[in-house]
This record gives sequence, C-alpha cells and structure tokens, in this order.
Amino acid sequence: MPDHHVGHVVLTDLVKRYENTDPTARPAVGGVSLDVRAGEFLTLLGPSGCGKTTTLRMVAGFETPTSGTIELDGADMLRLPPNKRPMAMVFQSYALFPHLSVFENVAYGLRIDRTRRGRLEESVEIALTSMNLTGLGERFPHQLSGGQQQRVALARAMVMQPSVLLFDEPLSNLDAKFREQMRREIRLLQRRMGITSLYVTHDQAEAMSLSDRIVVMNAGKIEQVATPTEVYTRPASVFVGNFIGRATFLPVPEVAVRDGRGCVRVFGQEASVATHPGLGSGGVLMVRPESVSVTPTSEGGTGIVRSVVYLGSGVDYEVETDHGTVLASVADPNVDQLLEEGTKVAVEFDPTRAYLLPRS
Amino acid sequence: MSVLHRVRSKPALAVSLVVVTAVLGVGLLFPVFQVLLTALSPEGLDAAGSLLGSSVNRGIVVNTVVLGLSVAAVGTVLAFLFAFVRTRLDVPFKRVLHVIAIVPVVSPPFALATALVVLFGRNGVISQGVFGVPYDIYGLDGLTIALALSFFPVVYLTLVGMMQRLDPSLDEAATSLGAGRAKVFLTVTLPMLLPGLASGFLLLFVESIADLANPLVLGGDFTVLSSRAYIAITGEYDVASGAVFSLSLMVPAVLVFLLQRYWIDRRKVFSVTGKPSGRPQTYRGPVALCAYAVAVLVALVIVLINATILFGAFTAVPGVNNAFTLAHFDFVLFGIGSEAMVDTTVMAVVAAPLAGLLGVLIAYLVVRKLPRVGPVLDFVAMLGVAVPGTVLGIGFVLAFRSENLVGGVTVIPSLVGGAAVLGGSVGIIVVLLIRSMPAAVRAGVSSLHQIHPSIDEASASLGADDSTTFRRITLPLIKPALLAGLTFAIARSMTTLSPIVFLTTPDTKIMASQILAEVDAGRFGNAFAYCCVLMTIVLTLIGLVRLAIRDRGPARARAVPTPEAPVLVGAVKE
Repeated sequence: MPDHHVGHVVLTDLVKRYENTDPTARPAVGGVSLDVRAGEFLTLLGPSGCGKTTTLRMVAGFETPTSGTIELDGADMLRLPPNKRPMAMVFQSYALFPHLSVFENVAYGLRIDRTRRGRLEESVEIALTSMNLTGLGERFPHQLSGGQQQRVALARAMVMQPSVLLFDEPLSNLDAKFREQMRREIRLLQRRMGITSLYVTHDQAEAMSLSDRIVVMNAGKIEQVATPTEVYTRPASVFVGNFIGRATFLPVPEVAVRDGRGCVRVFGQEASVATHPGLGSGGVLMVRPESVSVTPTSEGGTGIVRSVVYLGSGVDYEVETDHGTVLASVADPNVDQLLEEGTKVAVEFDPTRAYLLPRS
Repeated sequence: MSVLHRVRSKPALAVSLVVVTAVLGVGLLFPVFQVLLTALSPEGLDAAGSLLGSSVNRGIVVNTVVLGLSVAAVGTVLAFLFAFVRTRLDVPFKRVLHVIAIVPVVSPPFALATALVVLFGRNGVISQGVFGVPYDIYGLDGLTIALALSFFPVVYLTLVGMMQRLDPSLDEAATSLGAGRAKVFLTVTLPMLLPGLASGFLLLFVESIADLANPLVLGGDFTVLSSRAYIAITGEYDVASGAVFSLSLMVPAVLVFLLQRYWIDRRKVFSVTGKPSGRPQTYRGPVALCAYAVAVLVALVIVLINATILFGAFTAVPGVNNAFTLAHFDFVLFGIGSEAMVDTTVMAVVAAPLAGLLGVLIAYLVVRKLPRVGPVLDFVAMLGVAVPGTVLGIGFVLAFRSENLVGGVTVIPSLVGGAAVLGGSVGIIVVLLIRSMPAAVRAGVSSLHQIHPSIDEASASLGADDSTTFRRITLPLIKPALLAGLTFAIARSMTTLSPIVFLTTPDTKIMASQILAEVDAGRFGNAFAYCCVLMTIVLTLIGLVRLAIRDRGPARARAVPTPEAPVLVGAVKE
C-alpha cells in the first residue's frame, strides 16, 4: 500500500568539493537544494559531469558533502552511515553478488536485519514473483541475461521496503529494446509501491517517461525542477530546451512584452508567444521541430530545404531561413510528397507551442 | 580445416610449429619421460618401495608436506595482509610498503636464507648478539620464514590485482542493504577473493615443496624430498632414488597446476558483472591498524634482511668480524669467482631473448592460429614451470649425459657432464629457456586476448600475409607483454638453481650454485657479494631491455595489462 507519509527528502544547499582538487575549480556539486515529496519519482537529469551522480551518492551516504544538509522525514541523514539509512540503491553495474544465488542476493539485506528474518523466504519469493523472476532463485547472476540481472538488482532493493529508492543509471547497460520495457516496469512498480524514488540518468527519454518531476542539472547546479511537460514546453533556460528534446533557437533582437506574452515577428509571421518571466528586451525564440510546418511555394518563400532525412515515422527537414537554419519535422509523411533538397518553402510555426527565452 | 592442410598452405606457420615442438619435445618432454622410465625401472621401483617402507623416508615425506602447508598458510596471510593494506587502507607509506614487498622477487634464492642465518643463526647477530639467546633457525621455522618471504610477493601481486578489479559497487550494494564494514568484508569481499586465496595457497604449497635452495642452506636436520633427491644424485650417485624422490614432488605440482588451470581460472571468469564504477571504500579502526602494524613489521624484516646482504658483502666475516673489506667483491668481480659471473650473464643473455620470442610465438599460435591444437601446446609449454626443477635437472642428466643416437647417427650430442658440448652450456641454456618461456607465453596469451582479431583481419585484407602481420602488427602491439616476458626470463635465468645445479661442469659455473658452495663453506661474505652482484646484473639487464624496447607512440596508449601473476610464480623463483 502506498504510504505517502514516509520518504520526504530535503536537500539544503548541498555542496561537494573533492579533495586534492584546485580550490578555485568549480565544485562537483555547487549548492543543490531540493524537496523530494513522499512517494514522488524524481529524476536528476543532465550531461555527464553535471553532479547528478555525486548528489545521489551523497544521499546514499557514499560521499560526504562538503557542506549542506540531507534530511529524510525530518531526520538528519548525514549522521548515519550508509548502511543505517533507510534507503536502497540500484547500481549501474547491477552490483549483484556473483558468489550468491539469485535467492541469496535478494535475501542478503533481509538476513542482516534481524527483525525481518522470520518471513524471509516469503518476502523473497514475493519480490522475485513481482519482478517476473519466479523459478530463477537457484541460478547465479552469470547465468542470467542482462535484463534478468537488472530485475534481480531491483528485487533486491525493493524487498527491503526502503523509505527511498536510489537509482544510478540502472538501465544504461541494457539493450535499447529491453530498456523501454524495464522503464515501464519500474514506473508501474514504483506507482504500486509508492516508494519515493530518486533516479539519475543522462537519457532524457528515460527521464520524461519515468518521472513525476525532473531536475535538470548542469555544471553542478540545478537549472530547473519541473514536471516533464513543463521542462519540455517551458524550459527555464536555453540549456534545458536544448538538452530535452530537439529545438531551434531563433534570435529575436527586439520583443515587446505585453501581459506576460511576447510579440515577435519571425518568417514574416506576427505572433504572440508565451514568455519566460525573466525576459529582457531581446531573447531567443524556441520552436520545436514538430511545430514547424513547411509548404512548397513557387514565389516568396521564406526558406530553402537544405537536407532531407527520412526516418519512416517522420521526416526531418533542415531549412535555411533569414533567421538561421530551422529544423522541421513532419510526422507520418506521405512518401509521394516528400520535399527535395533545394525546394523553396514557406516556413510557419505554431505560436502556441513556441516559447520565448532570455539569451543565456 | 585440418591442421595439416592449414600448415601445408602456410610455410611460416609450419616452420614455427616445428621449432616450437622440437624445443618442447627435446627440452621438456623427453627428459621428464626419462625420469619416469628410470622411476619405473626395477631399481626405481625398489627406491619407491623404500620411500614408502622406511620410516626415515616417511619422515621426509611428512616434513615436506608440513613445510608446504606452513609456508602456504603464512605466505597467503602475508600476501593478503599486504594486499589489504594497499587496496583498502588509507595510510601513509603505502607505496614504500609495495616496493619493499616485491623486492624478494628479484633476490637470488639464497640471499634471504643466508641473511637469516647471519641474523638468527647459531651465532646470529640478533638472536645471540642482541638477545643473547642461542636460537637455532635451522629447520622448519627458518625454512617457513625464508620461503614465505621469498614467495609471498607474487601471490600479493595477484591479490592486489583481484582486489582492485572488484567492483566497488558490490561493497556499496551490500552497505546500502544494511551491512556494516565487517559484514561487507566477510560476506562479500572475502568470498570474492576465495579463488585467489585458494590458488595462492596451492601455489605457495607447490613452490615451497619444490624449492631446493632454501632447504640446502636452512634445512639443517630437517630433510625434505627436494634436498633428499639432490643428495641422492650428487652425493650417492643413486639416480633411481633421485628420480623417485623428485617424481613424488611432481605429482602434487602437476595436480595443482591442473586444478589451477581447469577449476580456479574458470571460477574467476564470472567474477565481474556489468562494468565497475566508483572507488573502494577504506577501512578504519583497530583491526585495520593491526593489519598495518604487522605489514610494517614484515616490511622492516625484509629491509633488515636486504641490509644484511649489502653490509655482509663488505664485512670480513659477517656477524663475527665486522671489519670493512672489499675482498669479497674482489673475489667475485676479479678473482676466481668472476668466471661464474661471466658465464651466468652470457647464458642468461642468450636464453632470455630466445625464451621471450619463443614464448610470444607460442602465444600467437595458441590464440590466433591453432584453435584446436593450441591448448595442448599451451599446456605443454606451461608444464615447463609446473614440473619441479629437480625433476627437470635429473631428467637432463638421464637424457643427455651420453649422446643420443638414432641408427648410429648422433641426433643430439651429449649436453650434460664432462664430455658435454661447450662445457654443458648448451644444456643449461635449454633448461633456462624451458623454465623462462612459460612466463612469456602467459604474458603473450593474455595480451593477445586483449587485441581484437579484427585488427589481424584488417592487416590481412590489406594484403599482408601471416608473418608480415605478426611482425608489423601483432608484435608491436604485444611489446609490453614481450617486455614482461623478457624481464621474468632474465630474472629467472640469472637466479635459477634447482635444475641447473645438476648440470654445471667445471667449465661452466653459474652464480647460484657458486653461492651455494660459498654458503656451504661458511664464506658468507663471498655469498653476499655474489648476491649483490647478481641483483645488480639482473636489474641492469632489465633496465637495458626496457630502454631497448621502450614503448613509443600509440602502442603505449594501448595498455596491455601485466599477465595474471599466479602462473608466473614458478617463473620468477624456484
């Protein structure tokens, strides 16, 4: 049963500066504050070196913060060693104990906690069943496929019924096909159990499909904390817009902002678009490729098709315009009407899908 | 495609296969076969009967097993202790400890034992001089210390390698599931190291029962099979007994070799899942401090022993008359003793490159060219270290004392004894070759496994034939392995004793057996001077080799890891 009263994690001004590094260099994590709600699935997303894994490992207790606090349901976690924190971690390398059977791997934590030994076998069996591992208890990790190993790693963490589950890029060693399947299973399981989950990944599709909220990190700092729809449609910065999904950013030197909306003139099109609150006089207009349309035209076109990439489910056009190169993506195209390189086109964008950002 | 067909279509392959087979057949299989024949002859069976029947001989067997077990136990604990300090403790002077721990690898076989006699013997500088106790180090206790200190470094290196390769997230996973430090160590770290500890134990057992040098110096009344075989051959001229005694050493040696190859190595395969990440956590507290203290103490003993060797070489009668003298060095470098120095160096310089090249060639054949015959070739080549030195030495005496005739024609001239070709040096060089080659084979095999076969295929598709590919592509890529192989070959060729001691003639002297003679005569100063000169030559040669085939350019970027250490145990020391 989901219990939404445990698993409230609060990070306050967390800083991690590694020893033996130049004190003037940027810290690995430079002041991260986060409020993870009980039962929430929160993903730390960012390029490698952005500090997301270090943040996760500080929560787990494998790294000691230089400063800042970590609290779980009001209790100071920094005073507890990692083995005393009511959390369980799923590792990128799975970290299954190779000398123990699947059953013993899952039972490992239960055997350590004396209070749980009574119903050990039952608990392990339930965990194995819930991860579709029935009948594999006697096997050893090396006898399992990558996907099965991943399930064992999950079962081993889940069976502890931790207040918080920590995931360190758990799917990055899996084949693309398995990855999507595991993504769905993790999400279902997490919803069912209601365990607060902190998930680290550099894969934006993974973050989008799994998370209640996404924390986009860059260079040791948080760029944005928001729901998947928000980070996609209302990115807090050009970095976020670029990192999540594909986008074209068109420089807009002059903007008139009225009632929180900006008036821009692009491709000869006058439009009022949603605007970032921090916008000054000039900005950049983010247009997603799927909200750009191109129509072949014989006269007065605003762009020329420079490249055509057919992907089956869609087609991507790179269009040269006065504002720069614009990416347009057409879903489910009619193959008889694909545009050719050099075609003059009229470019239009959907203003309701565009977003005006400050120049970074 | 059959081997024959393959060989016929590729002459270079055929030639290398013939050379390799001839060397292994003549230098290894034939002599060992002769030992077997002699042991199974009527006299041999008599000797075997007395080995089982007489209580003296049964005592020797018991001594041997007890010695093997005690060295294995002490050595494994030492190796683990040092590896634990190196990989899991955050303490000062770890690098210093590491260097001290591997010093015994390059010391000659007697150096340690002789120094122990000077320090702790009947008139020992420390036992008698400092504490005033008439402690007698000769026997089981002294042998255990000397052998454990001599052999533990290689097991230490293996364990360090294993512990560094352990995925730190395993420890973290256990921690995150609630296990404390001690629990993680007992339930995760230790079980993962078990194959390494077991193989280290077995190797120490085999190495210590096969060792000849130390029992001769430190044994006293404590006779073991190897020293008994030596006395039978050199003192009693009883070849049949010698053959039986040494063969009884070969049985456990080969068993352990098989166990290592077909059981432990296989268990290690699945010790890593996924890719390792993070770094191991360090231990603190009283237990960690104790481990560190013991390691430091042992390191001090090693330093003390080496200091004794160095100072002993410059003193008139080490431990008795400590007046400074250069007489010992004069004897070794310019006197009668210099013959041995020159002979040993020349033979090592001939044998080591041959061993390195041949070993790498065998590795290439095994890994790349002969998927089915390869394992057999590999197995036979590795027998070169698995077979105890006494067996090989006695085998050479039996096989090559007189010339080998086929149909009245000399096929192999006499290689051993007074009438031997070039004063027996050819025979010695072949033995050195056989003993040093396995290290090069292992180094080559493991580095070839690192190089993707498609690199060879790319060379072939660009028009290169097999030998061109080997010369231009493979050899440069496995240069580090060749270097490692050569280094071991040099160290081994210079310091080896047990097979060679049966083969020396008045015309060819080798330093190891000269040291033995000096120790026997109680001239420790000369022995120490020899040890110093020997170590200097070994280190100089290794330095020269490194300079000569130093990595330049891209080959360096492609780091080929040093070969698995356990198989090299035998390659480094007797």
